Amino acid sequence: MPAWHRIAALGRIIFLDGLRRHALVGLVLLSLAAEASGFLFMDFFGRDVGRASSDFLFSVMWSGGLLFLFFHAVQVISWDEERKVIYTILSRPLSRAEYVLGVFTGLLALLIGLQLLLGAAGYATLLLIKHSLATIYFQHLSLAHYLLTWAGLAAMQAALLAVIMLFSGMVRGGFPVLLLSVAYYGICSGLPVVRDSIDAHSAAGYLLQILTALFPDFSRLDFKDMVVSSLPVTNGMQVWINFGLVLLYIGIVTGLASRIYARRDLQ
Amino acid sequence: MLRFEQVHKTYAKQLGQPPHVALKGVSFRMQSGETLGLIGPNGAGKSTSIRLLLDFIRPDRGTIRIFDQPPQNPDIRRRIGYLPELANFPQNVSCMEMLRFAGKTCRMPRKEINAAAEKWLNRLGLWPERNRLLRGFSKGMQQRASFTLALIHNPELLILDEPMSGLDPIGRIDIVNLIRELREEGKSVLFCSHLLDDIERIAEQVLVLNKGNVLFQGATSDMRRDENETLEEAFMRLIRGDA
Repeated sequence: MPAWHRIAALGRIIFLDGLRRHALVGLVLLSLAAEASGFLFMDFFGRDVGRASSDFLFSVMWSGGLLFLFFHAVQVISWDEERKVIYTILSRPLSRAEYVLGVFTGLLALLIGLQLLLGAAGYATLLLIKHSLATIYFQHLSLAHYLLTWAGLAAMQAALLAVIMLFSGMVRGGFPVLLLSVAYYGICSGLPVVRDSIDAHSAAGYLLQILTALFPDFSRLDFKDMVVSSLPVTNGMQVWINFGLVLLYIGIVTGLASRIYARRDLQ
Repeated sequence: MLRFEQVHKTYAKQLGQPPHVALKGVSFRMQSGETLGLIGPNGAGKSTSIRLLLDFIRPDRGTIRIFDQPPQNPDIRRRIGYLPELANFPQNVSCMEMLRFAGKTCRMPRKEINAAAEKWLNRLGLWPERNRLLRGFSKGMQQRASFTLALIHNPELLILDEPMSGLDPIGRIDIVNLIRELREEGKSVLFCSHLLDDIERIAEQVLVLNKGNVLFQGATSDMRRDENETLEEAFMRLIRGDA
């Protein structure tokens, strides 16, 4: 039987277990309520309502995903270890690498499910806002650009999830994994700002360029501005290259996480 | 079927704690169809031996073979059923969902999984509860659910870590009878318990461990010096002799 069958079987268990957690149900309801409040939010803006509403809704989606990653995903492997659930799982014919990939798959399915729900509710909210206003206040809403922005957001959070898997294999306990993951996210967000302020041809500039391979610039996949714009995607090839690089990054990081976890003693 | 040769294991130093030597060159063998009881006081190395067999931890030195394969090979676990000391499941899944997961990892077709699940859930009195979430199960029910998980794929070797843990007297009798039935079916059983009564009732062979050393391996009846000595007295004699 190919390994993916076993990975999918574990992924299904992780998915079902997460789906029935009251905290995650609460997170979904809270995020949906926040998106619905977009109707009220738009009243604070006299112009450019479309852009403000779109930014607000994508911020809600991003925050919902981050809450899921930092308060659920960082703990899954450490919970398995602390509650000895890992003994029940690894007593089956699963390798450690398949375990890491199974957990990643289950959590990714939950993350994508959450973002699909929020994405659909967000688009419905934007449509309702657009139809409730005169055209001059909200001129354009592109479904293609909305989907591209959604895919960028989902790809960024999937990369963050892969890094969480790596940290979960490297250190014990949910809290250290949370601290490392938040620090990683902070560096990824801050590095482009520092890089822009330094001469790209200096030694420090080159160093920062290399560091970008470890701490990717997530803003490359942020297309929020295009959702309410009528302009085509500029430099379309670069967009696909960026998506390809994120997928490559996820593959490398999950591969590394699997190798590290395979070496660990599960005391 | 199962071989330990000069296995050493030391748990690395933890914050505020010195390194702990768990096994000091332990060697033993288990033949196919045998029932081997692993006994010893707390910290003897019983759980460490079981964790090594299932590749949860790795030895510092020595060789371990199960079905002539190293424990690192996940495929051998298709032939092993493991019952942990305390049943540990993801809390928000049902017994049936866990059984499907267990069956799928062992290449069982869905039809076969359902038939085996029905057989073992009925045998252990959990069939009516099969779709209830495991977080609502009592400790004894979780232990029985864990047993169904260990048996679903019809393993050749059963590794049972304190199988009576959390069971009431009726449940204990039921599990003892079940282990006897499995033994009669020709399955090999390795189990550790601190209840010498259970060892005497179930095991043909016994391995006594203390402080990471093997004190005795042989037939349960050979452990006694004479007919008047109880298993408990024989056990205490061996432990005191080691100390």
